[in-house]
Amino acid sequence: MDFAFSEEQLAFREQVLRFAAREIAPRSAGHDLNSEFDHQAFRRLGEFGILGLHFPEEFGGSGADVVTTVLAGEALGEAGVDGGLLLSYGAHSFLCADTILVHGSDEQRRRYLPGLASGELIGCMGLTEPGAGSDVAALRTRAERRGDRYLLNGSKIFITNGPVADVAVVYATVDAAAKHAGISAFIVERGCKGFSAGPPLHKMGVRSSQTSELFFDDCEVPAENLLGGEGNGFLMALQTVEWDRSALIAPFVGSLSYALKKCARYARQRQQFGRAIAEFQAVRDKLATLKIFIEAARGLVYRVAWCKDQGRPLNHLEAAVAKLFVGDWSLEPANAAMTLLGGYGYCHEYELERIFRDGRLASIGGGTSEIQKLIISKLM
Amino acid sequence: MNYDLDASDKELLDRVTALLNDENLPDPAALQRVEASTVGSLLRAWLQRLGPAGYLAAPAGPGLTSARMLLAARSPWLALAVAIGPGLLADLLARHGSPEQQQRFLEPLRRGRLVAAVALSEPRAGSHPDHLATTARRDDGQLVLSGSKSTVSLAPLADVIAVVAESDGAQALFLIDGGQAGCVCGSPLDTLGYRQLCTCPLELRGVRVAPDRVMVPDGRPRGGLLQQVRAGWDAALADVACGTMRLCLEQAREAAAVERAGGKPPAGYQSVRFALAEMLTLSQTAELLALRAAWAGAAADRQAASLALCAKVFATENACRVADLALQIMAAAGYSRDNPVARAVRDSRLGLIAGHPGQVARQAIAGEVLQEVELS
Repeated sequence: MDFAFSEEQLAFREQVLRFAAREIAPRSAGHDLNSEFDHQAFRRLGEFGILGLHFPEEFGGSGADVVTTVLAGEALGEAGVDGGLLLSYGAHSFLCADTILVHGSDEQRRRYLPGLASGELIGCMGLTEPGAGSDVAALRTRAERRGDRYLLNGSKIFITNGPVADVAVVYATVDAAAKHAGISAFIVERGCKGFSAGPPLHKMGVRSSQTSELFFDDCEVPAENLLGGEGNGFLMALQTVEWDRSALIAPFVGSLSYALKKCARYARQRQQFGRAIAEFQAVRDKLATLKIFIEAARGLVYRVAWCKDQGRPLNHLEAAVAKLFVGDWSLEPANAAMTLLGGYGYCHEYELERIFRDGRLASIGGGTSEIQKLIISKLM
Repeated sequence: MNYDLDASDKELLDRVTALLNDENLPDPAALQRVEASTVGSLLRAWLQRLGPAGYLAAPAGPGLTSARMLLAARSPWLALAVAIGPGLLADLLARHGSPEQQQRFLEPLRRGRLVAAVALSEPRAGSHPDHLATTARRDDGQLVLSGSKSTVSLAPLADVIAVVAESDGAQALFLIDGGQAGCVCGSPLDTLGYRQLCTCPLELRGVRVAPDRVMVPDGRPRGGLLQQVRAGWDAALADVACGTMRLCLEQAREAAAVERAGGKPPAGYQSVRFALAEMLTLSQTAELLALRAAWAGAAADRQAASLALCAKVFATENACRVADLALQIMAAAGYSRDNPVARAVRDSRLGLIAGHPGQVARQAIAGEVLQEVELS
């Protein structure tokens, strides 16, 4: 066993930390407060090489392995970047772009990936529906072949990047009776006839990430935009799970590292009863709670990433364990961090209430904790 | 990065697995009586097989940690006894022992020929190194130990007892024979759990120790020896807690699959399945953290001490949680005194208070965090 990162990985992590702390994190508070998507920051992530980090160089990426990619995501969180932008990055790079990278034709890759890597294009994934959340097989959006195109009809909900996306990977069924086997994926571009996005939803957290419904009303999609062949969509959606349970949750862990440093600095400076509050055992106990969670979570998240790098078949059990732990067990440390700062922790300016709100998504998005427990109990 | 065990570590696991399947060895999980003689003979039988299997000579690291978890999943008390007795003394001898001491004690320990105990805790010396009252004075070329130790596990069974005491302003380890004149074991304490450890108070009434049986760590900060003993306990408790979680999970899973009155087995209820999922999640998380801590220690990683404490706290706290969940699933069967889960509920509490007690460990973890912030 060897849990060390390589020198190159650590050097890159430092670069990401410095870049994000200098250029991205200072913008987070304002965009979170106003629930605005930060186009400029998103483009800078692309220019720095984050958005297409794991793409091959020919498609505008750096060819990084999964562990490095996850490490970069954790570093963004650790630099203080808000969960909204991190969620947008995750939905863009892993749920949309990676699906095109893995399942797309050469033409589809050449057409979309360079723009998605640079941030010139923004991507999203349309899977969840009002009546089909975790029960993917129940989705009702239909795709009907009409000559050289498909007609899509239906709607999606809770779509991260929905209002700002230029490219959407949308799941629809070509044969509802076939259930899983009928589900197919399509690349739908903004401006496509019959395609529209609803207004951004007002969310508790991850506010700078724009989330909305997507509507398909006889939406005409060229047949060449079918992704991965008819009926293969269910497995394609499942494959995003590896990213969901490593790269997409790593920033939550990084955010708590950021919170830990912030709390520790505050505890050293804040004086009460004639001494720094860092000298009080109850305050130290909260710091320890954060540290223990962070180290425990890292082991799980990087296990999923490392297995993917080894080309091992997805272990749904281990992936679900990682997601469940980060989702459910992060609540206490996030609450401890906010409480440690007292009244300041409850104020927007000190960021910990934002981290608390953003982190609350971890047990809901990408499959609720209850779904993870169902998976674990079924597979164990 | 590599989450797989090395080939040599896998071989060690295979050898321990073979021992666990060996019907000629007494089953430590079936031990009902806790008289010292019964425990002693069983412990010696296992040590004599664990030695040739390489378990007792395995260096600290993921391999030993994995093997300990495996052994603890069958018998938490046996895994803990081996770790905090012969295992801990062997580690201290490897670090601080003279060549002669290593030849005399270390080799037999590694072969499984000696039962050892380490005597540290005192009635008035909890976690602080400055409060040790056991001392050694010089007399006619020898050292004479006087004092009392409050809770010494395995003391009534031990061939050799390593006593931590003050001598000439330093803390040192004194290797005395079990039953040596002046070394008096009190009656085993009626402990909540881990009764097989035969934990008892130890009185040292002018025990004479030859100078070649004294280990004085050189160049160490004051309290370093105590830290090493506690760190040894911490690692053992973390690994054994992980094994305990495996044991509880297995017991609960089997019980949940058995049909009961009402027409369906407990596993037919979502709340039971979710409890099993929580148990597995905590178990896997604790194991990974303990393995990473073990790797960090072996690699002399900068974060090794902090990770070891994190692993200890997480594993021991959650072993209690997992044992409680298992008890709930097993209902009346789990509440029977000699059921493995009932034992685990009692035994797992030791992890919260032994080694670095939970609260002390948390303070130390926070101290590391605060220091890092100061440095950065």
